[in-house]
Amino acid sequence: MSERYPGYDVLAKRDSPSWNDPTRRVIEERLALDPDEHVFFTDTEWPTVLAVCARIVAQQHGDAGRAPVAAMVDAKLARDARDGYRDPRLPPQREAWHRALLALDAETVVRHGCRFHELTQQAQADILKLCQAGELHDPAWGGMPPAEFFAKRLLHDVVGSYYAHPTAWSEIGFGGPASPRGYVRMNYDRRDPWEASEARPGHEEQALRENRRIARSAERRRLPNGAHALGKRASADGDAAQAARAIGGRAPDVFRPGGWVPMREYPLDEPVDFVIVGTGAGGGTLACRLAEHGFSVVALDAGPYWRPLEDFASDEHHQEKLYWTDERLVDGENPLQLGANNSGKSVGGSTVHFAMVSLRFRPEWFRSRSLLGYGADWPLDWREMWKYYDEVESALKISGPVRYPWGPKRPRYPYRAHELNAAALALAESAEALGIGWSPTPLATLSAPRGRAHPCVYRGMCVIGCSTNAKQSALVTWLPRALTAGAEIRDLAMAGQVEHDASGRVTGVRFHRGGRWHFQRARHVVVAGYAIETPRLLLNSASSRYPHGLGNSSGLLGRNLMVQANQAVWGLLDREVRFYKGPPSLAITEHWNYTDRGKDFFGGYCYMSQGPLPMLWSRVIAQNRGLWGERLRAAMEEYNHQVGLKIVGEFLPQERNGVRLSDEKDQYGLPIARITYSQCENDRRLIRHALDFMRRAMDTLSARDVWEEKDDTCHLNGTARMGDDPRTSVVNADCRSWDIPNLWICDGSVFPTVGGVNPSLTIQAIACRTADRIKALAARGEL
Amino acid sequence: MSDRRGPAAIDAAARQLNLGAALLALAVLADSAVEHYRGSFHNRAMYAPLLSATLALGGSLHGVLDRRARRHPARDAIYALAAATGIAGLGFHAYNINKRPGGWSWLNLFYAAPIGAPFALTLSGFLGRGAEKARHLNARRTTRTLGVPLQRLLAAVSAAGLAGTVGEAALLHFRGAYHDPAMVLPVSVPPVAATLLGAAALAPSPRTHRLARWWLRLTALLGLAGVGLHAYGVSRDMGGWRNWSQNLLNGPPLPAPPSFTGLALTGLAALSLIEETERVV
Repeated sequence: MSERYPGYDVLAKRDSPSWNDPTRRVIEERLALDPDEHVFFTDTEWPTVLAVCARIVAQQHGDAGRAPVAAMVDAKLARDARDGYRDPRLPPQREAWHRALLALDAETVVRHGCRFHELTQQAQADILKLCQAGELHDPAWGGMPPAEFFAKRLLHDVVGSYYAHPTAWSEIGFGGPASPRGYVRMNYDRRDPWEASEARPGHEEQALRENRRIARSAERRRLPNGAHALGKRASADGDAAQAARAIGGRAPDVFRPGGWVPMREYPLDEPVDFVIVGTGAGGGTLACRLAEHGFSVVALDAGPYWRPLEDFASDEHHQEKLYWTDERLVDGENPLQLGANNSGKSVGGSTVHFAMVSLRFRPEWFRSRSLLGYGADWPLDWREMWKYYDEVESALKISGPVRYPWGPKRPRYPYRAHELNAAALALAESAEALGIGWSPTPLATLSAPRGRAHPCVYRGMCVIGCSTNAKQSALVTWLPRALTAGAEIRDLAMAGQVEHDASGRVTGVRFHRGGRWHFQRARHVVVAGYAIETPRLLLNSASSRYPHGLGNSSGLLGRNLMVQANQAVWGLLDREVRFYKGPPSLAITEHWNYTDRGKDFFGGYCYMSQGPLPMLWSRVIAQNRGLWGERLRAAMEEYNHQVGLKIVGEFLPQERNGVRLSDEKDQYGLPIARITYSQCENDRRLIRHALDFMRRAMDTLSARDVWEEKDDTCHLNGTARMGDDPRTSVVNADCRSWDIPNLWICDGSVFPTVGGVNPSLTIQAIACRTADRIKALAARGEL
Repeated sequence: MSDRRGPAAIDAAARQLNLGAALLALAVLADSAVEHYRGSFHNRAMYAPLLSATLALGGSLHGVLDRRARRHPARDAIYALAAATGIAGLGFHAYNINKRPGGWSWLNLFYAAPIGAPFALTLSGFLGRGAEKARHLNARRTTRTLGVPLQRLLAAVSAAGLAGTVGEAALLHFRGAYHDPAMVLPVSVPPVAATLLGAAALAPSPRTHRLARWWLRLTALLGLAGVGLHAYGVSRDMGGWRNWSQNLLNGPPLPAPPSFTGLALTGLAALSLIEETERVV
């Protein structure tokens, strides 16, 4: 039992409105894991795994009520569920684990004459410390750097597994599953009656009583015969990730469990007007607008077609199913982390798990080369973009402040801003102390009902998929409109190549669905796979006519990849913050996007309040601060007092950063992408400036144990930049390929620069503009 | 009440004022109970409106049943306490808004302590005291309060109270982005009633009274219908009524709309008093 939250048990709320059926199913499965079960690890390896896990999360194997961490790691590896990126210094994860376990035993045999698990706990810990420091050199490592394995594989898997278990949630006072019921009380030191009570010194008894009351009141809700408080709503049509749902003239109704809506279908061998690869912010929006303009549209997505109400559990581990976790290689001086924080594999794309931050570019950024002296000019005029921003904000019913403090006038946001949580109040207080502006963040999550979508319940699980349907993702906004307008959406359809005819015009897309390859004929092809999959597809479509990939006469396809800086400063407050409540980024300052004075770098950044969930947070502190064992457990017990400020910062375009094809193949037999990233001096100066400034902000809050998270990035842009000159850009302002007139690219790839704001609103605005331009071109016979 | 004349009509109007004060007190009691529970009763002063509104409710109901044509000192005291508690509440709520980052911003007006809410308790107290004083009115004897004939003052205060309540509904329905067309009702019907009632307070005339009465009756009905509409609003939130522990707090407040009914009743009573004492028929 946790001493910090005595008597608190997340599981006691199992039958309360805090849990829904998908969550109960997922957690039941986790609790049913046999702690000694191992499928992936061999019997020889198993005792080593148990010992390693016991040291890393400081618990004895077999302790009652303990998390079966080793079995969870085993299950992950048995499924081969990956992270979405791999440092090429490490082999694939299964191989890495096998090799490391062998090497750890080899090390201890040489040093102590026995295997790892036979050592004392202290000696085991000493070996692991050497591993972390990279000071193990046995040939059994086979060239795999032990320090890399420790940080990126071992801590990631073991720590993540522990904090994905209800035992750990109870220990740190996390609210746990929260759907349909989220949270009400958002301020400092405020607790809903279903949240854990913390034992303040001298008040331990009070906390114990309160936590027992939570368990009792949940117990009273238990219904007879095991019926759940909210009824069974298991879907009748199986797992969306296993078999395509959008078939037979119907597509899932995202607003109704088990529901369907009619969908028009197009034959493969008759060309449709547009086939669109990807259904996220770019492709989903474009599919909707083109269909509404009267074009025939087929949109492909490699991911499943979810119904959020029935498919989304309140569980970080389970919801990793939303991320693009297919293998990608990362290298360069600053290898990227991909997957969870920037790549989605779902119908609706990354918008299904994005943080909903919906910001406009600063107008000058569309001409940053001419006006600000860096990057590249866009071929778009900010005033025209302002009009399309209006359209998107209205379509997504963005909840924003009545008056936004930065930038030119804009119409009032359609919905009002959300109440701030304590983490956001901390940002606001510190901004006022520093004398800079702040604002409630404009968010694509409802603050009032909209049609069949419920308003936000402040469950805080935004980046693992919104089971409330408050999040205005492409899945619940543009795509239902697209279906109504006659578009067809094909889920679990992975595009392999765009093909062309002898004249050089593209003829359609080869895609994998239902276990085999198909070819959809089309008059136009739009690639909207985001900044990695888009160049990957076009590079993989190289032919004798286009040996360097389609639309690549400039040689810039796949180059100028820009992520955004995502550094943070974290600290502890004496007051309870409980930043798991509410959308993670409720408050923002764009001060350093709109102020150029006092900067020693080009570009800008905003920063926002934060609210990572336990599994993510444990990995952040384990990997950034190298914490494990008792120190990690102690640090995690401070979870409810943690605050953080995190930037979205502008990195500069560099031709050396980009996407290439590697020799390794994925499950479809397609070459996987190799992503190279190195920061430039300007990027580093921006980071330093931001970290110094946010540290000052933390100081105004009298935060304790302040530390800097220096290595994180978010959002992928560039790789198919738009421009006015075919020699220096891949597409024109209409997102049309310079080389092939019926090939289009419509996603974050076309950004010439990234700016210091989250890109989703701009991607959607560009898609709306592209649709209008296509309509206009068609009317003039120029398509 | 229009079929009664003279002392009987004045007695009925006085007791109707008590009834209006009772409804206002009930709305405040329920609303502050829910909202201050949501605020975890962080400050002990947050119990004050519950206590004061309970007393005002009890006193008002007693007044409704009390046919004696004279003031009741205990009720008088209770009403004075209610009025004072409301004023103090305004101070607390203003302090709460002011101390938050952003100060007097839209965000804090939406989500901090609601600035207008405590005033409903003051209105209940003031109009309740009016009910007591009205018991001494008759055709030959009028009472002046603050230099104004009592019946006119009661009409004016009811009109101002309606206007304030409209302001609160406008603010909070703006917070809800008027997502449902019905949300326009409380900012369109009661303002007409308030204007007509105000006009009647300034210059009574049979025509104004007739119009004012119809709009006030409509406002009274709207206040009751509002509870139903808000209940529907609660059902629309995630988990609906099964998730009451969240949605009763985060959804539209059930106790808020009956304030309109309470004020419409006091407005109607004030019109009756004007008619009886000033021979406006």
